[in-house]
Amino acid sequence: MIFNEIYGCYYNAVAKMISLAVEGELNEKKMYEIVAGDAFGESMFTIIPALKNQKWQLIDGNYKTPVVNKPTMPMTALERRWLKTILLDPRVALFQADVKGMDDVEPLFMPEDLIYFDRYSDGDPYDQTSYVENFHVIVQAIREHKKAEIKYQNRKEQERIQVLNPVKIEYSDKDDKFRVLCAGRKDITTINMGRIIRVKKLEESFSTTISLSFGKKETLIFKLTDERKTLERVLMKFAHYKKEVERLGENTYQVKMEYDMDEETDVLIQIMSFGSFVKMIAPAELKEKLRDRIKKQIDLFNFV
Amino acid sequence: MKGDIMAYSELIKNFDNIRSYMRDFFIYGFKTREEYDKKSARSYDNERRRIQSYLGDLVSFKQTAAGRNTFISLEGRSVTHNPLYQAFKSKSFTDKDITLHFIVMDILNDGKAYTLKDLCQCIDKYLYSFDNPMCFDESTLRKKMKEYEELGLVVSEKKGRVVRYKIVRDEIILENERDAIRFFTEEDPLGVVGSYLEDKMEAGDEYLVFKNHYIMNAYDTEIIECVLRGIHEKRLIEITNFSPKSKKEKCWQVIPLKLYISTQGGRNYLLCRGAENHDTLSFRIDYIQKVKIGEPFAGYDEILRDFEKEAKHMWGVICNNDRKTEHIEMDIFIAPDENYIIRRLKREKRCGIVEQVDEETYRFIADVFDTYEMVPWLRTFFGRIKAIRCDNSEVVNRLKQDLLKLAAEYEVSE
Repeated sequence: MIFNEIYGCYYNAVAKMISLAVEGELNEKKMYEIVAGDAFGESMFTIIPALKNQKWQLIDGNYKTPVVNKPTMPMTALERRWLKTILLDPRVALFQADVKGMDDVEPLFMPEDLIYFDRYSDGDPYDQTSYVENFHVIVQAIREHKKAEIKYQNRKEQERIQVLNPVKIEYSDKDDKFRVLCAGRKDITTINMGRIIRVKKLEESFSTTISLSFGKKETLIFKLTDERKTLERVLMKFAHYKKEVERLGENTYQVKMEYDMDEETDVLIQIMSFGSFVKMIAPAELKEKLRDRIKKQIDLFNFV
Repeated sequence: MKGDIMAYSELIKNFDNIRSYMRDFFIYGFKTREEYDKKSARSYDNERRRIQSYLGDLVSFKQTAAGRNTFISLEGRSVTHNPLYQAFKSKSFTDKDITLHFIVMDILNDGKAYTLKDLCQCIDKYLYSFDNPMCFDESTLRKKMKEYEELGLVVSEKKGRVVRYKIVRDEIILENERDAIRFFTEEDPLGVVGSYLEDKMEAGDEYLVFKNHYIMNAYDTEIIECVLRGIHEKRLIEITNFSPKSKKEKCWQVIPLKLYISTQGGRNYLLCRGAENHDTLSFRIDYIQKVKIGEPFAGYDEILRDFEKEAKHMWGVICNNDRKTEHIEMDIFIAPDENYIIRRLKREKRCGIVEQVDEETYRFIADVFDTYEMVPWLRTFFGRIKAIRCDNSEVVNRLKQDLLKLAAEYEVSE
C-alpha cells in the first residue's frame, strides 16, 4: 500500500524528536524546528500539542521519552520491491548500485512493462562500458570540484577537447540522454554524455561556490482555441514550463510561458504541432521564424 | 456527531479528492473557486488549504475579473525533487497508531521474538509514566502486527498455538544506493517510494537535474501501482473510468498489458484488451478513478505476444481492432548540410523507415493503424514537406487546411 501513515511526514518528524529525546537534547525550540523542516505548513498546530498533551504518549512534559533506542524502521516490502525494480533498469549501471540480499525479492514490475511511446530512439548507450566509465569519472570530478578534460564529438561530427568545470548532470526524459552541464564565467557549456570519447579528471580544482547561470529567459505568448481538447493538450504538454493562463472568451485562452533561449527551436516545433489551434503572439523573432516556415510550406505545396 | 461540523485536518484518509484538486490546480490554474462544481465550497476550501500546506510557496493565487485563481506554479528545470510527493505523506492515523508504532518498533529493536502477551506487558511499562496511560489489549495489538506483517516490517513464527513476532532485519545499506535512489525517485513511475527511502537518509550533495520532466503524474501513483501489479501478475483488473465527454463513470473488465508513458505530452495510458471481446483498448491513467485487481488470466502470454505484434504499427495509443493499417509516405526537403534533420527524422519516427530519394529529398514510409494520430508530428515538418501521400485522405486534407488557416492567421501571402 503506497499511501500509508508510516511513510508520512508526521511520523518522520516525531521520529526525529524522539531521537533527540533519547539523547536528552530535545527542547521546545527544536520541536518547532523539526516540524518546520520535516512536516507541512500547519503541522505545528497538531504535532506539538498532541505530544505536549500526551495524546501521543511518546514524549513527556520534560521532553523525556520512554523509547530507548533512536527510532529506526526496516524497509517495507514495497520499498524492497521498488529497489529491486530499479536494479533491473539498464540506467542503474550509471549509479554503481550494488544491492546484495535482493535475490528473493520480487520486483514491482519489469522494465518492459513500460513503453515510452514518444521517446526519441537515439538514447544513450547504457550498456557501453566506455559510456558508463565516462559517466563515473564526470560524477567524481563534480563531487571533488575538479576540472575535467573532455574529448568529445561535436554536432558537426568533429572531435574537440575542452577543459571544463562540470557541475551537474542533466537527464532528459524525452531524449533519454544525459548531458554534462559545465559552468563557465558567464554561461553554461553543455556536452552530451553520449558524445564524450574520453574524459580525464584533472588535479586542478574549481571554486566550490561556482554555480550554473542559465541563460536568458524569453516569454512566449500565444492564444489558443479550445477545440479537440487543445487546451488540455497544450497545458499538459507545457506542464514543465512556468506559465500563466488567462481565459479570454468562451473557448479562447491566452498563455504566457517562460522558456530558456537554448530551447527556442524545440518550443517552436512544439507550437507548430498544434497547428492552427494555437496562435503565437510573441516573441516577434520566433513568430517570424514560424511565418517563414509557413511561407516555405505554402510554396512547397504550391498553393495558388 | 450528527449536525457537528468535522474539524479541518491537514491529514487525509484517502487520496482521491486531493488527486483531482491537485490535477486541476496544476493543469487548469485559471479556474476560479466557483468553477469547481464537483464538490461543495467547503470541500474546495479544505483541499486548497491542504495543498497549500503540503506545497507551500508553489501554490500561487491570482485575482482576475472572474474571481480568484489558485494554481501550482513551478519551473520544471529548477525542480530536482518532485514536490507533489509531499502529498503522499499525509495519511491520517489515530493517537493509538502513532504511540504504538514507535513503542513496538523500539521493543522489537533487540531482534528477539515476542508474543502478543509479552508485547502488551512491555508496552504498559513504556506508558506508565504518562498521566493517563493508554491501554492496549491483545486484539488491538494483533491487528497492528498483522498490518505490519503485510507491510513487511515484522515476521511472525508460529510454534503450536503461540505466535511470536520479530522485526525484519535489513541487509541493505541504503546509503550505498543513494544516487540510484535519487535518479529513479524522479524518473520511475512509482518514484514516490524512492522519496520514502530518501526520507530515511540525511540530505547529501546532489549532481542530478532533470529536463522535460513531467512531475504531475505523481498524483496518479496509486492507480499506476495497481495497473502495474495487474500487468506483473498477469491478472484481470476492473477499472472505473471517468469520461470527460459524457461526464460519467463506467466500469471495464480488462487484461492489462502495458503502461504507455508519454515523454512529450505528459499523458500516461493503460493499454489493455477487453476481458470479453479481447479488443485492444487504451485508457488515460488520469481518468481512471479506481482499479480492482482480479484473478490471474490464463491466456495472458498469448494475448501479450499478439499485442506486441500490433504495437509495431501503433503511432500513439490507438489500435484498430480490424487490424487494418494505413500507408503513409512523406517526402522531406533536407539540404546537403542539414544532417541534423536526417537525425531528427530518424530518432522521432516511431515506426516505419527513412530512405534517401535524391540529394535533397528523404522519404518517411510507414504503415500505421491510425495515421490521424501522426498529424501533430507531421505539422512539425512544415516548411520542408515536398509531398505527402496517405491512405487516409483526411490526414492530407487536415494538413492543407491547417496550413491555409495558419497562412491567414500570420498574414502569409500565397
